[in-house]
Amino acid sequence: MNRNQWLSEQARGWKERGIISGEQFCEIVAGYPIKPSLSPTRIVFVFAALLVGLGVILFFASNWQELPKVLKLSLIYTAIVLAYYSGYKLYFEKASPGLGFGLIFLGNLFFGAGLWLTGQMFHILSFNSNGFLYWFLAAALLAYIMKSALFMGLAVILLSIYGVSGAVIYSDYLFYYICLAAVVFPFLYFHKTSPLTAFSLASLTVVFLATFLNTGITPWFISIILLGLAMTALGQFSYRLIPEYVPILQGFGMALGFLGAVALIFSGENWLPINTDRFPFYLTLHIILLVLAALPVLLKKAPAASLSVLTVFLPAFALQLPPGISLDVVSVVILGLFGIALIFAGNALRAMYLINQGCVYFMLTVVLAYVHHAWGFMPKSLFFTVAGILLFLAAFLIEHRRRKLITQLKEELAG
Amino acid sequence: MRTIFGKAGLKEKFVIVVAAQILFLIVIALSRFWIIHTGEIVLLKTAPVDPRDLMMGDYVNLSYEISTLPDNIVHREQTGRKLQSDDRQQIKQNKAVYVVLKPQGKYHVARGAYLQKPALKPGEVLIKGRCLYDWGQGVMVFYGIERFYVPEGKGLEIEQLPNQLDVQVKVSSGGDAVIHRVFVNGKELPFS
Repeated sequence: MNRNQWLSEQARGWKERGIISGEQFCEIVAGYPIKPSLSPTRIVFVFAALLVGLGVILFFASNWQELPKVLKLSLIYTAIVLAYYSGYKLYFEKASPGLGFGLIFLGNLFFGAGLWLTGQMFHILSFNSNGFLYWFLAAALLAYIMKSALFMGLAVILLSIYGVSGAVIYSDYLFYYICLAAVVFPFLYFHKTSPLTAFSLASLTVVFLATFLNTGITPWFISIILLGLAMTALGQFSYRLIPEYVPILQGFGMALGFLGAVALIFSGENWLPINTDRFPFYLTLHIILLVLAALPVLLKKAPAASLSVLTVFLPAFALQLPPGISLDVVSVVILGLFGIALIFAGNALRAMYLINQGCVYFMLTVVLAYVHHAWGFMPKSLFFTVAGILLFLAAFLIEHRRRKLITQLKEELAG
Repeated sequence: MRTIFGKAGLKEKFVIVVAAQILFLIVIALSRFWIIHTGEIVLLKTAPVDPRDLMMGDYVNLSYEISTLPDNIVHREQTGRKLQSDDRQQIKQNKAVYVVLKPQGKYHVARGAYLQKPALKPGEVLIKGRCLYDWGQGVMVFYGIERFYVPEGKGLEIEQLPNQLDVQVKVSSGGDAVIHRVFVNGKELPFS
C-alpha cells in the first residue's frame, strides 16, 4: 500500500468517527490522489505473463511453417482475444485484479508477437521500424486506460527501440520525439511516477545520443552537455508547476553535464568544440540554454540557491586560456566547485538530495583529477595505493560533513 | 489526475483499444491476401548474392536485378525526360519511385522508373519502391520483398545448392508487391 492509499483509508476512518466532515474527506482525498502502484504481486504476474508468452511463441514458432496461413492467423487472434477477455473479466470485475492485469499484459505481448508473425508470414519487410511504433501506441493507450506505470514502462521500451533503430538504421527519428512529448510526457505529468520519469529521461538520452552519433556531428559529448543543460533548465522552470519533478530533471541534467565534462577533459585537444567549425553554434545554444535556466531565478519563480546546479555547465571550453593553464585543469576545478556548490545549496534549500549528490560529485572529481594527472607519471602500484589512501581520506571528510549537515537539516525540519 | 471518464467509460475504452489492435492485424493480413489473390504474377530474377551472406539467421536476404536501376532508365517525369545530374537532389532517401516492368522471356525486367506514377502499356506491370540511395550511375531501390523467411534448419539446404533464386511476386494495381513463391534452380521451395 502506498502513502496516498494509506491516507485515503485513514481519512475514511476519521470521517466515520466524525473527526472530519464529508467535505473535508473529499478535499483530503483530492489533494493526495492514489497513484498507479507498482505492487510486487503485479510484477510477479507480469513476469509470469512474460514466461508464458515466450513459451507459447516458441512452441508455435517451431511448428509454424507446416500450418496454413489462415490457421496461423486464427491462432494469433484467438490467443490475443483469450488473454484480453480473461484479463478484462478478472481485472475490471475485481475477481482477481493482479492476475487480470497480468493477462492483459500478456494480451499486449501477443499483439506485438502477432505483428511480427504476420509480417513473417507474408515476408513483409519495411524500411522502417514502424512495428515497434504500432505496438508502442497499443501499450500506451492501455497505460492511460488502466493508469498503469508498468504499461507505460513497456511503451517507453518499445518507443526507445523504435527511436534507436530509426536514428541508427533508417535516419528517421522525428516521430520518436513527437510520441515522447505528446504521449509519454503527459502521462508522467498526470501520474507522477519517479521511476518511470527517470526511465523516460534515460530513453531520451539514449535516442538523442544515437541521433547525434548518426549525423556524424562531432564531438559527440556536446550532445549530452546540451541535453543535460536543457533538462536542468526544464527543472528550473518546474519549481512552480511540477515541483515533484525538480529533483529528477535536475539530477538527470547534472549527471549528463558531469559526464559531458568528464568526456571533454579526457578527449584531448583535437576534439575540443572550439576546434570545430560548428563552435559558434554550440556556444550560442549553450548560452541561450544557460540564460533560460537562470531565468526562473531572475523572475523569482525559483530559489536563488538553485543556480548552483548550473555550475557544471559553465562553458570552460569557450575560454581562451593563457599559456601554462590547460583546459582540463580549469575543468576539474569547475567540477570540484560544482560539488561544493551543491552541498551549500542543499543546506540552503533544505534539500538532502542536493547534499548527497554534491558529495558524490566532489568525490568523483577528486578521483577524476587524480586519474587524469597521476596515471602518466607514477608507477602503477604507487598510483593505486595513493589513490586508495586519498579516497579513504576524501570519503571520511565528505561523509563526516554530509552527516553533520543532514542531522542539522533533520533537526530543523522536526523543529 | 482524476480520471476524466467514469469506470463504465474505462471498460468501453478498453474494449475499443483491444478491438482496434485485432482489427489492425486483420487489416494487414487481409491487404496481403488481397494482393495474393488479385495481383499480377511477376517472376523476378535475383541478382547474384555472396553465398556466405545468403543466410542470416532464419531468413534469406534477396536482391533483384530490378533493385539497381541505371540512370538511363530513370525518368524525372512521365514525359520521359531522363535523369539529369542536377536531378540527383530529387533522389532522396525514402522517396517513392514507380518502376514499370515488362515481360522478357519468363522474367519481368525494368523498362523505366519514374518519380511520378506513369501510364502503362499492355502487358506491363507497375511496382512501387523507395529509393535507398543514389549510387552515382543510378539508384538503389527497395521494394519490401527483399527478405524471405525460412524455417530454422532449412536454410542449410538452400545454402548448399548453387544459388539461382527466382522469386514470384504478386503485385497489386497500386504497385504493392508480396512474395508468393520462391524457386531455387527452377524447383519451388515447399515453405513459400
